[in-house]
Amino acid sequence: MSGYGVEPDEMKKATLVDQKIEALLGGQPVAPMDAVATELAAFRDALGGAFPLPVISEAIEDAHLVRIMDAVATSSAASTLVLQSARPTPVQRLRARLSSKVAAATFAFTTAFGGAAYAGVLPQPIQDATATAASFLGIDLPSSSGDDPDSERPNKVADPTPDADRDRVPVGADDEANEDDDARTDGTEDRKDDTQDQADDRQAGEGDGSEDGDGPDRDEAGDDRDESEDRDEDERDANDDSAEDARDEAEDVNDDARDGSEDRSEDESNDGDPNDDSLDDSVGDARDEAEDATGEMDDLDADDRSELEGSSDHDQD
Amino acid sequence: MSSQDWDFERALTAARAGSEWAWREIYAELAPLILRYLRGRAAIEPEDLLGDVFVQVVGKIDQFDGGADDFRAWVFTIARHRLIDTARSRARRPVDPVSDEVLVAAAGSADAEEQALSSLAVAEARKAIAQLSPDQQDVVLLRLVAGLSIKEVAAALGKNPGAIKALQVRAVAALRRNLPEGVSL
Repeated sequence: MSGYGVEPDEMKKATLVDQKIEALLGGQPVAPMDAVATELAAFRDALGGAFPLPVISEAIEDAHLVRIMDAVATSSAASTLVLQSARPTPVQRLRARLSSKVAAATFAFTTAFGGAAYAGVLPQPIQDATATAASFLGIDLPSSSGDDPDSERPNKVADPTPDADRDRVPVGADDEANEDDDARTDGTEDRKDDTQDQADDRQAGEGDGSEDGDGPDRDEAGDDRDESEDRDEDERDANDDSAEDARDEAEDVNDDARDGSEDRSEDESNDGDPNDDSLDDSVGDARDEAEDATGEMDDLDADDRSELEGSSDHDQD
Repeated sequence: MSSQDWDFERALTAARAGSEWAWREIYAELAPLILRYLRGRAAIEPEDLLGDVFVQVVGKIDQFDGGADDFRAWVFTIARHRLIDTARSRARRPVDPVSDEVLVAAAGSADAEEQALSSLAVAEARKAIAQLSPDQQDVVLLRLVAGLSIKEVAAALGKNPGAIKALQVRAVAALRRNLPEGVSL
């Protein structure tokens, strides 16, 4: 016994036992057979007897082989699909090749042509066309005339005047239409006056011939006409007032939209970001409001006209 | 390279190509050993599990690379994983297993005394195995029942050969401790 409480040949014994176990478990003869080896060999034999090598019945084997071949077919079909999907078709290969060539050519052309255009050394027509095309993309390129490309660039946000004019156009057109309506109304009134004059003439002629018979009736008819004229004038005044009010509102909205767009465009131009979508949206909203108000006014004018025409028809009748 | 290895290589190549005779050969070579191991691990419905093992072998055959010994260890690795998965799924849905005595009686035998002795030996052997740790069970069964070498068992269990030897020694010591008095194996 050593000082550590370990027998001197313990490691050797362990190695020997390990070798015996390995030999026994491997089915090899062990000599000498001590108690441990004998016990282990008996256990090995018993275990072999407890779990004999099974004989798989034909039914089970056939069922398993059917499952195996089904799995083989599924696996081969899946691998075929994977191979087909992984291999590009001729069209795909051609498209990829063309795409890469087009991309390379575009890059080379842009690099060479863009550099020359930026330097302003291109021929005059090409330089002008390039500067104009680049200005739409927000790129400043010198033109052949030497003008500031910013002045040539159509900047709809920085210069809202065209939009404002475009906004103003429907209002002006409506004014012209209203003037036409007024002329038509005046014509109706003229026709109405002519009809009234003719009626007065007829009444005067009839009055000359038969003063006694229909005097009170004529007076009543004249009173009726006077009342209808008064009603027509009142309605015209009211319609004109409401139309003018709607027109004023539309003009106010247009003025507000113009003022807002001008203010915002000034702000944006000061900020140096003229291509802001929010400004376009605001101008578009104001324009929509103005068009809605103008539409209301047109509807009101149309109503006025229909009412006036109805009253004139009534008067003519 | 031995003739057996060459046959295996040929069978493996043909099996990868989907040949039925190759799969029949592989099945005949390995299925009895796998079924024996599954029964030793007290698998429920080991025949069904054996079919699942081979279906998984078919699905993963392209991933295998090695010789006959490596292939056998690889297949037992799959069998062990399928066994563990089945045990886990069974644990979620517990069933009442039929005892060995009932199964042996249901199988039927001409000699009642021999049947009783056989069932007793089976019961004692399974009880002795069941008292080992799962790793020790695997080592003992793969070595004694499936006939794998230390190297193959190490490959099947994903351990190094030294660890397998240590597990083997501890398993034998545990078997000696756990054997009931008066029962000689």
